[in-house]
Amino acid sequence: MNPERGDTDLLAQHDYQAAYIFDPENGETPGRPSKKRRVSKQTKGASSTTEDSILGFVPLLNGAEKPDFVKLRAQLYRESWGKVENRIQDALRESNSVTLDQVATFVGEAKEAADDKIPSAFIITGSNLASQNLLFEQLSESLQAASKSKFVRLRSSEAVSLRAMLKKIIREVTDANSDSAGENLQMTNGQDIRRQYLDYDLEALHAYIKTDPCEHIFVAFEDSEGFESGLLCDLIPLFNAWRSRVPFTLLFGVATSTELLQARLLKSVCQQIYGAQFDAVQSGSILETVFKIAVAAADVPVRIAGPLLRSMLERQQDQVAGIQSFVSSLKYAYMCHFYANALSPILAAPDHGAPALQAEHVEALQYSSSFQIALEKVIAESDVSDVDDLSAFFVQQVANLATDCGSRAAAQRQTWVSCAVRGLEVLRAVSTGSTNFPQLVIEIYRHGDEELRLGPSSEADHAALLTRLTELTTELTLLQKEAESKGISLHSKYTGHNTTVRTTVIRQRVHLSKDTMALSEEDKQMTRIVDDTIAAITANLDVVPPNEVFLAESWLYDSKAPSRDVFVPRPRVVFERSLARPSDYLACECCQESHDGVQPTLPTTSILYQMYLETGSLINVADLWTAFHAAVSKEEEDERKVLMLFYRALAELRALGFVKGSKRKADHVAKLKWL
Amino acid sequence: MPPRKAQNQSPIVVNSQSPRKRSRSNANHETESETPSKRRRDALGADDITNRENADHQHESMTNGFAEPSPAEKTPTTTPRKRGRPPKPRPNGDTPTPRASDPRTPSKRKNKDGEDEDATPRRQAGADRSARRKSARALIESVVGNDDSDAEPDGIAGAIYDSSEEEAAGEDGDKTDATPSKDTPEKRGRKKRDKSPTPPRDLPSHELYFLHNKPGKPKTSNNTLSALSLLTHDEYFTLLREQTDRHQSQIEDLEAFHAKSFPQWTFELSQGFSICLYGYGSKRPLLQRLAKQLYQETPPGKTQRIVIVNGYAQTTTMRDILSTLGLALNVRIPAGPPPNMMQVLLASLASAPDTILAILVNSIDGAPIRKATHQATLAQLASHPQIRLIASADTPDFSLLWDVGLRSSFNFAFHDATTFRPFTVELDVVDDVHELLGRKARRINGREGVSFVLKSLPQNARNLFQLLVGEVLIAMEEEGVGGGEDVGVEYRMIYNKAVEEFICSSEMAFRTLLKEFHDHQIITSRKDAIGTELLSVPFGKEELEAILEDLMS
Repeated sequence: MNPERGDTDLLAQHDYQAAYIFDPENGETPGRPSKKRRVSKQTKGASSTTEDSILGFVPLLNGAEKPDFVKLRAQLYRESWGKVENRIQDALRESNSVTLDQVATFVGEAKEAADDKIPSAFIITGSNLASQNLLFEQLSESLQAASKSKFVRLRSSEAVSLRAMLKKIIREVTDANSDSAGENLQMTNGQDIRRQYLDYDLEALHAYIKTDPCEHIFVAFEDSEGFESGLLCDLIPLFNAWRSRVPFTLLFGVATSTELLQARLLKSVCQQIYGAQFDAVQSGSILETVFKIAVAAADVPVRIAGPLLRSMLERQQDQVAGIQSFVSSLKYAYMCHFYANALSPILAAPDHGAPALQAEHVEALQYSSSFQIALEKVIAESDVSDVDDLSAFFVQQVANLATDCGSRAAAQRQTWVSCAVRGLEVLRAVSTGSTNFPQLVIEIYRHGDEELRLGPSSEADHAALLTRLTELTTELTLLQKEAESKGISLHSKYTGHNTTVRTTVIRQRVHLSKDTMALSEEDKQMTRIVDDTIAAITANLDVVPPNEVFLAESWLYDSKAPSRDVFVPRPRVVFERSLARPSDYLACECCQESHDGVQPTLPTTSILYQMYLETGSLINVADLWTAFHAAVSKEEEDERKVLMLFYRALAELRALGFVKGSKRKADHVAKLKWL
Repeated sequence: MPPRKAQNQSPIVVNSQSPRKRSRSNANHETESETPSKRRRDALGADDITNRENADHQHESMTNGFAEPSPAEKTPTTTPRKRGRPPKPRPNGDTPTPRASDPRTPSKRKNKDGEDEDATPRRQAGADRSARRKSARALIESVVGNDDSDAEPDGIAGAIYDSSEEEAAGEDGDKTDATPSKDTPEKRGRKKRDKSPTPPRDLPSHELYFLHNKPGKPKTSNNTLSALSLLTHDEYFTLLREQTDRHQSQIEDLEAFHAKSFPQWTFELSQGFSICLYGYGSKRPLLQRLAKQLYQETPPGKTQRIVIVNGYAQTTTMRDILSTLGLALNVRIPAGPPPNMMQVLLASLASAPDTILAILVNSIDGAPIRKATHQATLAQLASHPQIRLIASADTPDFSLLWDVGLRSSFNFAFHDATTFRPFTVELDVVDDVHELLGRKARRINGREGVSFVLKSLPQNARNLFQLLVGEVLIAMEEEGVGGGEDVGVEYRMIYNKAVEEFICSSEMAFRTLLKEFHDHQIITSRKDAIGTELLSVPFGKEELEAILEDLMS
């Protein structure tokens, strides 16, 4: 038997199975343990450290990239993203810590205070399901760490009936410690308990608690809105009744408000609850924190360009996507940058002991737009008039620029980031409307910003700015003192107090005119100081667009398309296009020229789809068949064959959800999609 | 819903306008006096005026298109009434470009009266029509009247508006010469056609939806497929085998193109993303290829197990999937409710931290695993760091399967993988089509399918099936029914016969054999009115005979 044949046989055998193990080497008996073990040993023998792995990076530059650089890119990706990811994880953990502490304290106190009521914490999480998940995970961790307790998470989708929920709670509590203790004995213990009782009998839990006492059993209703109110009304009194024997504590994740939840419960049930409300951090503020530390911070390895960022943030709002999806998008941007950009390792190459750049790198460099901008600048500055051989001169300049470009680019990037981030900070300071604005600005340039990992500025321009600003502030203080001693208040011409609006009525029409009060000598001086301060600051605010900075390609990621394609698919558009214009995908000769009407050479489903587009809401299959036959018979003579094609196309349309059967008329189908 | 109406109208206007206009000006070559033109305008009036609000811009440009040097004498005929709106062309000018005229002018009102007097003696239908027209006009006048009061043309725009109207009117005025009797019915006939035009092209899809879903009887012909003998499974597969796709090489190229992305996808997988491939065409071969690639590229230091799940297979259940996953990890998971199985699976994954489990799901939006609970289980699997999930989705609506929570635990990276491959395995074409037409219930691939299934079963299973088919055929003979669906044979009776013929020795074994058939959907069972269990084979008589022949040979 030749291998190809065997392969297809194997496939045919598996095609109708629900699932099978893909194992082309020993396929005849999928999942035979003995053979697998041998395979796994073999692979283990050939193991190497994961640090070296190249993560499936492929050589770029038309395949000419050396393995060293491929490895370097993979390594850089791991390092850069690892750094940012750790930072994000820390921030996320921290963001909920306040809520977690509050809940823990409440739980500790409530045990005594609650009397005959059941302690319950209502946590207002906001509408985002995805971020709830993280919160409850953290709650579970922190509460179990704080005291000896068990944590059971319930979701409304799993909670079909009272019995199912009780089963789940009992199972999770009795099984939970099997992996924490890791002892078989305990596990069998738990199973024994369940064997004695019905598996939804809380007596089992009681018996279990006796052998393994714990302070709390937390039951978390993650999406309390999703639970049937009847179910909750049954459960809560039940837990309360058992509280003397089993220490239940309830946690409710509330997306809307506790009032709404209360309105859904019976009054008698509400009276049994001893509750407190906690507000989880809203996703907006978490997003801001993450944005600051992972995108805006001065030391992030890859900078994300504006348009892409905007689309990422818009997605957060439009699609109510969680913070996780923002992090995913960010990660994807990093992945794209290092996976597909051959210039990405240039900046870091010297530090990582990489070999000199390849000729292909240099060539790629020369085509980058920022390089060309730099080259134009060099040529414009140099005197070309007395150069004999222009092309040689040109080549020389290119070579000059290309040598040691990594460190130079790194320096320029440093400068740009420092200027840009500081500029943004100044603008933010403006928007706060603080009274000692110049002081804030000085602070920004002198000390930087802790949160944004921005150190003191080292630029020469900034030093000048600082001295100028300090001068101006001292001048201002002097002036203020002087004014104080004279007992007058200082105004500049911008203050607005010194203009009055005069109203005159001439011939039944109202004329408004503005009058400016005369400025005193001090006021004029004040005005000058204000003007100078503004001028000094604005002179430093301007930065060139990032993509014009020398070799910005190596640290700036700005393509919007991959992120959009990967995270916001538009399947309908894709389907519409592939069916309406198959030649876009197939690139075939036969379907390209545009005749009037339907071309018989198109894939048959396409033909049928185009007819489908012209139909109304109810389709007569007999007529459809006639039309199809007329169109296809130009290519295919045999009627039965055409019918076979028709069958296939119709079945596909059905599978794609375009049509469904209709009973309104014989041999009719109903149209379902208007793409 | 007024906005819908308005939007609906405009494209129709765009289409119908130019031909109507053209023909009208043709007609004008024949017509003569002033009166006819007035009456004609009236007949048109209501409809055209409704359009004008929407088509304001259009008719402006249209009339400009008609522009010719205007004869000056026509202009002064109007008595400018309250406002200096578009007054000049009124007396005979506006017939060909009715939209360009002001419907509220005095001359028009006079016209209306004249028309009514004219119309009453004619036919009942005519009266009806004019009544309807009147009410329509009343409506329109109130609307247009409001319009007029605040939209007074002045300045340059107004001047342009006026002059363009003048020009158009002047031109038309020159040509007005139609006889009354001929003209009116002709116009009416044309108007009717305008009302039910062939669906205008390039409507946005939501507009098309409303256009198609207008209340009323569907207007489709009464043709049926009765003349056509439908395909059987046999014929279908014979024809399919002969068929060669003219795009075969392009399809191969397309798949090779997608295959170039494999390293990228592997990278994405390794970074915790799941992959979802969507687009038209079967992606099964592509996933197969990807599985091969993954198999060869097991990351060093890891063990990789690859499991392929067929979401399209009718018999797929979560239990099957989970137990296969368990097998891949060398764990035999006791069958139970999926959450329990899940726990065992995750525990065994945790005990083998070097193992990567790659799950390739064909048709994640297939009917058997479409349920929310199944998707939740898959999402839970996908979010596990040791599990990599690659899924293909066949329908355009797959993204509706997941809410925000599921979506974030799946963490999908979507890729367009349009393949144009026919769905050979995923679909049961003949049955699907017949079901669509309401002809037959579903079953597996007919005679071929049965023999395929039986080939993989032991001899006594084959014997049992032969027995069953024989009994069903006898029952059919007795009852004289053509269709096999309604004929059943008693479970007890078959069991006894099977024991007699030494096919099986216990009921347990008998049940096991039947279960196998049932899983492959080659038998059905139901209870009759008094609770006797009946077994049946879901095939027609001819097919049963053919199957029996196959079995005997």
